[in-house]
Amino acid sequence: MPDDPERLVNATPRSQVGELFASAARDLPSEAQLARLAADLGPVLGGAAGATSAAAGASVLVKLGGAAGALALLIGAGLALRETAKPAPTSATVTPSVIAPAVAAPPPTSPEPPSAAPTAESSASAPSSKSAPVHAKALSEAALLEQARRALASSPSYALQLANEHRARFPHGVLSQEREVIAIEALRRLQRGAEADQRAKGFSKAFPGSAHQRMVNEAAPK
Amino acid sequence: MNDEPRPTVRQIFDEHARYIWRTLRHLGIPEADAPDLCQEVFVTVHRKLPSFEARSSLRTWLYGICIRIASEYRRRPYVRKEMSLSQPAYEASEQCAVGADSALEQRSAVQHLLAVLDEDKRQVVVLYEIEGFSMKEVADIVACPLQTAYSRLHAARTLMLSALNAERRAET
Repeated sequence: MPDDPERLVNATPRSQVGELFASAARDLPSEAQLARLAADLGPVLGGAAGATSAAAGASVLVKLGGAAGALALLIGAGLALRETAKPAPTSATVTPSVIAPAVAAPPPTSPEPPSAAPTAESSASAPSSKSAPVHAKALSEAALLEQARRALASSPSYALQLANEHRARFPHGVLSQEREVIAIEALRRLQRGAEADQRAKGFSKAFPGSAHQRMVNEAAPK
Repeated sequence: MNDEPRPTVRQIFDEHARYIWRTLRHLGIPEADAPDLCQEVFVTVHRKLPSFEARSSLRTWLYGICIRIASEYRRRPYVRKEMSLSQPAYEASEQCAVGADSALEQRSAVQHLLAVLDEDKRQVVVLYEIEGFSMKEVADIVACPLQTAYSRLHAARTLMLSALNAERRAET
């Protein structure tokens, strides 16, 4: 393997291109820009996605809680379970699922009533324009999917309805994979195995190499 | 896979976010879109970190995500249209690379210079000349053979030099 050529910034005398690249290396975002970015990413940065322990990841994600943490909860639920070989037992009456363990990790809460309409947050604030900032979309997406996730155990049909609503409103959303995981799990709970399998195949085709693939496979075994 | 504890997304952000931002800008992402693209990078990191198997360094893996997201951005229909109408897509595009003195001028001049490169060459130049990766790492990040990466770098340097010389001639 040949040695790497001398970088232009290291050449002596430094060429004009080298001077420009040296200045380019100093072209960093301001602290204010980084702070705004961190604030927008808050739920993602606050979560324990990198935790090697599913339980630890779930517990930190649970602490985030609420709509602001929904993005992390949604993704974290999937990622924490991605680390788990088998779904952790939750209760004797709950069927193991791809979502349930992470859902069961928080202290018991009342799931959204099945008949409840989408919250004002998830409906009123949802951007419809493709030009809306990604972060605003992500939060609205997260609010909608968090509602779907909560409904999974008590009303999978409502969860599926919300997931389908998400698909209609955010066809190219950043949480599309998480939506499909929820939808597949909801279909499985509704004993609609063929549809779950079909949707799982669609997931595999749309998101090859996804970190959620194993969960999808478990949710809709062939 | 090594036994080192996996960093959190927060730790990765704190260590790398400013450089990811810089890289996105140098890959031609307009400043107005840099925050959104940075978010996409870290949402992807959040999603994929648990499956990161440390076959490459974390930094290489991270920049691979950055490169892919920037590349996908450039292929979005409305972006392609805008870029085709107003290349190069950055502020003060009329700024020449020759005689850039102030920081703003230099920033514009860098973008002006990089804009003469196609996407493949630009990626190699940004990663090697500005971000300081080795050529082996560059080849891994952009997913091309090492020799191809060398060829792109060589061609890019030639193109940039030609562009500067052409500007000089135009000024005299």
